[in-house]
Amino acid sequence: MRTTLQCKIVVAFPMPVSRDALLTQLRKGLLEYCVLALLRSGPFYGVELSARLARREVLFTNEGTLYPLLSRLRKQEWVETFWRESTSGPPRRYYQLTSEGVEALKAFTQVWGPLNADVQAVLEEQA
Amino acid sequence: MTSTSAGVLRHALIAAYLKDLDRALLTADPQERADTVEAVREHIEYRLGEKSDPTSAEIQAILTDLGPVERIAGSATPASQTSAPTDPGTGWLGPVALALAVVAFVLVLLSPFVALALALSVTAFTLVALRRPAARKSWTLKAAAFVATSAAIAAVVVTLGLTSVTTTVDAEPAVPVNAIEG
Repeated sequence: MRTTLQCKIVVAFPMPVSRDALLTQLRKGLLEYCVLALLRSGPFYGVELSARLARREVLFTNEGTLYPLLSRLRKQEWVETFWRESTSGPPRRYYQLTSEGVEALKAFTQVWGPLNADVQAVLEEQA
Repeated sequence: MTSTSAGVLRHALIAAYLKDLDRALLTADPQERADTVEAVREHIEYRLGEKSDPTSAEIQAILTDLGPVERIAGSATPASQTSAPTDPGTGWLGPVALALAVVAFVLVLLSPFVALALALSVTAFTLVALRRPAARKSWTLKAAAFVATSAAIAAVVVTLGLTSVTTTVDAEPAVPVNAIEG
């Protein structure tokens, strides 16, 4: 029996890491807790929240992406909404933390500090 | 919504943006899709303020800040991840609890003590499970709690009834003593 051994050499070119793609991945799961953290100080309407978040340019870029996130937070019952009349326009939908949202934020805060410290330590570690 | 802003929202640029957004969210969770389109509409309405006749440039600036509809849709939850369970938050626990509650109800006449133990266990489990936010809307858990509580009450009534009958039977001799002596 004749056996043919074939050897395939695959040359892998390193994929360039897109800054946008990396940020999108890292923001996932973080932004919702940042929204909860902002809501600690009281209820906000959507535009107010997006304006606050927009101060952090790395964390938040497109205002529109806030709304699917707020919908998820409502579904999880971490946030609830109510309407309030406005003196300068139509009534506004306000978002406020629920007790479950407070607990979720507390749990996140407890793990975020040590996790952040570990990542920082690993990044600064000398080879 | 004021009549002025309602008119402005019919502007071709805004209408097209909202339509594109709705279409881009086609594969998103239905509730998230509806909430997002409505919230973005409110956002635009607020940003336009009292302007009854905004310029295309002003509208375009608002839409640019909102971002491309594909990016908004990309941050939404896909429907496939959320629409599968018809009874959110419980998975198989709700149906199993309901089935056990029904079994407890059936056992009330056959074996009231077993029925009582089972019904009380299911009631306790469902009450604990319903405290979770995600499970609060679960109709199966609510139904299980109702059926199990009813079964527990029925089992108590039947048990008390049986005890009362047994006591009466024990207290009264089956055959009068006089009849034997006579």
